Amino acid sequence: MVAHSVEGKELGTVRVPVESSKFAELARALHDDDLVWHDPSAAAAVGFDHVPAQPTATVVVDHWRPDGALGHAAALGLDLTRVLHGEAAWEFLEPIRLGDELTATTTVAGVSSREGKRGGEMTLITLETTFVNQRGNLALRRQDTLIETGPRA
Amino acid sequence: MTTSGAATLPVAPVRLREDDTMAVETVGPLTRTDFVRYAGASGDFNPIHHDELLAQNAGMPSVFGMGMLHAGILGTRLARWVGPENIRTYSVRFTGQVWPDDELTFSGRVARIERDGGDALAHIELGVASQRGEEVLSAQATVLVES
Repeated sequence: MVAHSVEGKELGTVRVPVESSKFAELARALHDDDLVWHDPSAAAAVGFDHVPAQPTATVVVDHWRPDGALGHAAALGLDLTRVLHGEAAWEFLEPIRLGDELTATTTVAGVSSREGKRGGEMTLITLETTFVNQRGNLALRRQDTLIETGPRA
Repeated sequence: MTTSGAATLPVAPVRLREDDTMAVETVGPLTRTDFVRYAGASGDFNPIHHDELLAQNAGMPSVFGMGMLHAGILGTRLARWVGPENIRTYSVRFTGQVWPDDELTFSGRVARIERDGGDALAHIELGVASQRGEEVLSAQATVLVES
């Protein structure tokens, strides 16, 4: 159970280089072998003046967090065996392009609790991560809702 | 099934009408290797997605896929349909687990078109379903389309 007092707490800032090898790996992992996702000449051939990012490509930020994807949940004291990813949302404000350097900052946007379907109290934690590019512009706002289910009876 | 290396992505906003649908695509059967490949690509090394013994000790029948894997697959299909840089918002809700050997079907439909100043925005509803007929993810997107 996470205290509501963590609302507004900042969970750290990391710098994320937007690299072609990670873009190529992600495209392959997502069963999409279109070269446009990582090859500048393929992107140019369809009319892009840069390599565009896949909608969820900024997930690679987890590589740059000292404790990886689970670091935030662990830092908040969640029981990792009971944590589910409930929702994710992206607001795209400026295109993210191969070669960008992003600064990602995560804060706890909200904490709430409610009765779970199978009994026991569920805690919902909303994390917001902003990605600011090397030009100082907010390029992307991402929200994640983590759910800590009640302890097993 | 993957898309061809010669496939293209739209750059400019595309023309869409209410009830237009995305090309339906099925991906799978997914393997544990698919989960591990996504772990390496994304940086999500939660062992519940790759360590069979740990998953079973946590009460699961086996490892299961990360939600962000099928959210990401759906995201690239949306981008292929409407152009990656025309997407204004994309949100997903994880509603079911994805297990090894699952075959997932990705779909989307334009719910409505709205004017936003001089722009036209399509509100798109998307989903991912397993071969069991279970919805494992529901999603919404707003997309800039040709006015």
